Amino acid sequence: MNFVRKNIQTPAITWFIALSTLWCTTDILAQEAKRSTEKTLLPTGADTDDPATQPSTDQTPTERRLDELQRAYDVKFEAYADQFADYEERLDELQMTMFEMQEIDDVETGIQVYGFFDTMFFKALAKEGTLMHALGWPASTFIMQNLNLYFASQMTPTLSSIVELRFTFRPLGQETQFEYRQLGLDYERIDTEVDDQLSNEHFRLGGIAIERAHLTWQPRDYLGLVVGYYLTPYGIWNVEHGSPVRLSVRPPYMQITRTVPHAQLGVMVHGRFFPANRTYLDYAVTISNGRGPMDTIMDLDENKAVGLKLKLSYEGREVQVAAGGYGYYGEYTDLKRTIDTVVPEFRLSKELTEKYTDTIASFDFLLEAYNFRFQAEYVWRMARYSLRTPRPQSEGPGYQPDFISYFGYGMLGYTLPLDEWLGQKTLTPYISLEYSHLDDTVPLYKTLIGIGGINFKPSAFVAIKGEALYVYPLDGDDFRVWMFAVQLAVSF
Amino acid sequence: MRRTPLHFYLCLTLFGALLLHTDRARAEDPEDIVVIVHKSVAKKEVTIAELQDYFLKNRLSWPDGQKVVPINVKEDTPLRDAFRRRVLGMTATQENRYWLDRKIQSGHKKPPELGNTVKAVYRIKGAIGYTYRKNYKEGVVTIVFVLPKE
Repeated sequence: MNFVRKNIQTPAITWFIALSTLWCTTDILAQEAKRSTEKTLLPTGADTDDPATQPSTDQTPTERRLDELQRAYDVKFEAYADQFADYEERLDELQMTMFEMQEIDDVETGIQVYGFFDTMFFKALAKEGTLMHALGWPASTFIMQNLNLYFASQMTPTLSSIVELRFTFRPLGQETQFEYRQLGLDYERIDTEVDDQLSNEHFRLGGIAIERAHLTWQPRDYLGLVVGYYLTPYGIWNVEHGSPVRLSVRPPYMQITRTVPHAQLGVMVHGRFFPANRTYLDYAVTISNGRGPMDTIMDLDENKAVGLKLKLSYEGREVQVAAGGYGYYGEYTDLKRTIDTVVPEFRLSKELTEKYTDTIASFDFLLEAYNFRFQAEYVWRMARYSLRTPRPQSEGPGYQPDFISYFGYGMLGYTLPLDEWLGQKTLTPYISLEYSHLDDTVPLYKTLIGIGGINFKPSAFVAIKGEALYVYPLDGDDFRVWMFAVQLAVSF
Repeated sequence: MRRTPLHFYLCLTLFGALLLHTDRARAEDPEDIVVIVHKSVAKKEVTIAELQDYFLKNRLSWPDGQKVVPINVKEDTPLRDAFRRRVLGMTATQENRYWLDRKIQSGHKKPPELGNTVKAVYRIKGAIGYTYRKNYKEGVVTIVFVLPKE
């Protein structure tokens, strides 16, 4: 807080000061002589050395009064300024005492609540008669995809925890079944509307997804332990995580399909080494339930998934470069339980329904230099089945074969040098090209996606993005679609 | 061979003394920014890259394992602006963005801000802060880096 000195001078005073200044500069000796004369006229106790405090004999009574008021104001101003400095000092003292009362040698403890949300206006244009036209979005729409709330706490200098909850309007509108007259199936969609029986008010329930919830123990830079549900430390998108941080609106397809599990339940050992100035070598070893039909509840097999991340980065003043990789190996198991007999004995058996090994390798690269940002990620996944599930094949009923997925994208952004006009606001156009093949046994899934957009950050807390996206299937026209989106992402 | 006149050596000595004096005067300017650490910190010298790491929480612990507690001076002060520009290489908005991103990514929050960093660094174990040389009190905290007055 700063004290603002109010200007209470009248034009008469201004005129007087201007004349006095002129007088001072042109005839110092004369003024000195006058001052010595005035000294004798002043009452005792006045600060006779300060010419600024001297009332002039030429002043009118009003001017003299104003002058007196100005001097009184100055005195009060000085007193308040001193008082303010004193309060600031006391506030600091109190803050320090508060830290000491916490009985730990750290000022950074305490809980923080913060988060982000985004709202988007979206329109898709698909060719009539294609699968995408029927599957996709019938009209332009506003969408709220993310409302994430964080609770972060630093309990001791080395112990911290973070919980991130994603609030969603879903499962409202989730289509669970299409109508299929030949099989007598009806169209089904989830409706979450309930009513308050007391007031008869109708309202819709939403959902909460746990994005992460874990404890971190970090005794050293090179050694840390995370226990709980943590984000998989792979790639750039998964680590950047929030829409206000990310450059574009739509995540890459590898992220949407969760080819690498986006989070895992288990433990992670991680750390950082400093091989040279501004150079970091990060590692992480993950052990978790891995992927499963209900892996956040329980693992259905004894084989824990393991992963290893390595990342080398350099963060210079003008150039930042990072290259990393993450490897994952796990086993997916699904089962069902069947009642065999009820009498004379209750007998239950479990039967495996699906089992495959999941091998994943991902690589990422990031270069930021002179307003340019280039990022690229590549993910390769192989699923090898030991127990296959039925899958409709082009030639008729069959089973899911072993398959490989490939995903890769490169994104280039450039923050325009408009500091002169925009100040601290940033305007970053970007383009991206993505290739994805979800399952190499299904040619239809081979797709190219081109994105062009612009990211505008009017403040540190807000990002506004506009984006056009074109999906170009390499086999067939069924998934060809244009999408347009404008997103507002806010962190709070 | 001509002998170098004595007054040349005298001038050289005087010039050297003047240079030394100027250099010394520069090193001790009260407006220098001094980076100070708590007495418990064994490290007696840091590089500017390490400073950046500590204040951006890229390094979380001192070499002896003690946790690094970076302490900033309050916002909107010339000292804060100068330190941010010269050490972090950022503007205020860039720094805000950096911490908002870090909070979303990893839950790290920005360092606390205090008016009297000398007192704070003196009292908090593992603390690192900065102040003007004129505010530095010898024996209370340790200077590990000096940013000369611009």
